[in-house]
Amino acid sequence: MADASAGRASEALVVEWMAQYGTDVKRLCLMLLKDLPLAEDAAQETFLKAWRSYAGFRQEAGEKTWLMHIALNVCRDMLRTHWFRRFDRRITPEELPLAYDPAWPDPTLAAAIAALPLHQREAILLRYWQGMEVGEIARTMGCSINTVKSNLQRGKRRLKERLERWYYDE
Amino acid sequence: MNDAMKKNLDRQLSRVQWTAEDSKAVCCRMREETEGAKRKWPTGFALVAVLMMAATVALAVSSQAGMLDFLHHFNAYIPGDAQTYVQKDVAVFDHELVTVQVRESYYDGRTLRLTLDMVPKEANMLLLGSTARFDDAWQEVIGLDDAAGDLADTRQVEDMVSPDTKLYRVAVEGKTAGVWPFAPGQTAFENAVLDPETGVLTVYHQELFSDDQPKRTVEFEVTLSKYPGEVKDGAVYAHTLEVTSAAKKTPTYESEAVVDYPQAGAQINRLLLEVKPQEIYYFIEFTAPEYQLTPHRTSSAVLFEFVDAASPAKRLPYGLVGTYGVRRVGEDQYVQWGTLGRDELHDSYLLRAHDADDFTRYETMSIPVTLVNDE
Repeated sequence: MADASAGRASEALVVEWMAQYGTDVKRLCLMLLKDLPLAEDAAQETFLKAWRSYAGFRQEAGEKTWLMHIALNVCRDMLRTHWFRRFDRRITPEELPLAYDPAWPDPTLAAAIAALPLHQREAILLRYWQGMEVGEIARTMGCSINTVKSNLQRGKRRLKERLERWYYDE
Repeated sequence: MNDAMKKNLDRQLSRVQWTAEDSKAVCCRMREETEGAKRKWPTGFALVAVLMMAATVALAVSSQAGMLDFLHHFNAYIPGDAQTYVQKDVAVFDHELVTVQVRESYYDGRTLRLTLDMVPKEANMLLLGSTARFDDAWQEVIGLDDAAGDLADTRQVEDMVSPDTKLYRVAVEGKTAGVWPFAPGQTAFENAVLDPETGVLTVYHQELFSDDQPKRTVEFEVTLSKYPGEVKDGAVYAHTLEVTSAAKKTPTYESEAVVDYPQAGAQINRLLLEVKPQEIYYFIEFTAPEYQLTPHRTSSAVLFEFVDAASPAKRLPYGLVGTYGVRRVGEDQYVQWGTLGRDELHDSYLLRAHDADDFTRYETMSIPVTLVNDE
């Protein structure tokens, strides 16, 4: 399924990825970027980068893990650039109020997660929304398992403080 | 917690779906790259590479990223001759902890762009960007294009630090008077990349100014703060530069008449375009009397986007400033500003209005423009 001449994935494979993982990738990007137009750009960029770098894809990671890893990097990158362009850089993205977005008609949970620091947000979303195992999250986030566990623990603590009403342990 | 969170999030995000338009956009870009139809990036990139190779003798850190590398990274449209407006080897400032080399500068009267090389004075210093953390991926610290990095490299910053490493975060802050009136608090941004071979941190710094001035005295501070540690305890180095606009003249275009958008509930009173060497600045002066400001909506309920007349499903490419803003200037009166790719100068523009809340009130109008000033 790869374009051997360029080391790229075939278009058919990318179309398959988009059909299977597109919505998850786009929603993840929205939760990380808190901006729908940016999330759309980020999600599209994710599949383009996957297409270009298919030669570097090691099958043991799993397609979804690999795509989420790319999406995370695209979003981190955008946060470093777009946020600096659009907002006073003395304020971190996490400190900004959540913008109103029609995609979040009942923003309680999404807002609480979106208010987490970026790395905690990534870990929480991958673990409890995408259902990934800790090792898989470590590969996706590009960090150690201990770092993932630490981010999950801290993220859960913060969520519990905000969401007592619905929160319950596994 | 798993199921509760998943169900809640899926419900709350149910309106966010991957669409056929998303797939189409990705496929179009794949085909453009494959067929080589869209050659502007490779051409620009090749130009940078050639020019940077020519400068290797003059610069000890020539392998570092250049201004256009950073701008390329922002997915903005880069004119083919963009490098010709970039001044090289501008200034060197020697300090206790670092030498700050202003390797590149660009100034057009409204925007200042600087490429700053931070050369450490000690071999065991590790310089990082202003927001870096121990758990940042090393590939992101040393690479501008994360897709080109080694995905198998899972090292983090903390893995690269030994007991005798002196770790510093480096921040650059503009201190020049003059706030961009259309984007208060949005005047600057920066990005940084480390060359692991030399230890030189290259910082890209951009500022927008409130008025168009052919010459300006710009001031900026570089702060080195130990990490972990407080920024307030860092070493602060002040710098002053005299910059002259690369724009010999600024052709200015204006719309000819008021344009109504009855469906979208807005009216454009004037579209103003200023053509600069690396991008076109636009200002859309409009009224939107049908909309009320709310706590969620503090600027405008209507936004405009430039549609590509040749391909109406696409927007025109952004300019290098790469963002836009809206300012309320009076009762129901607003100005949306931003930049377009420099080569997007046309006799008329397709401007699509839409409500910023529900994205249901779309309307597209053609707006002719004429040259009003060629000085």
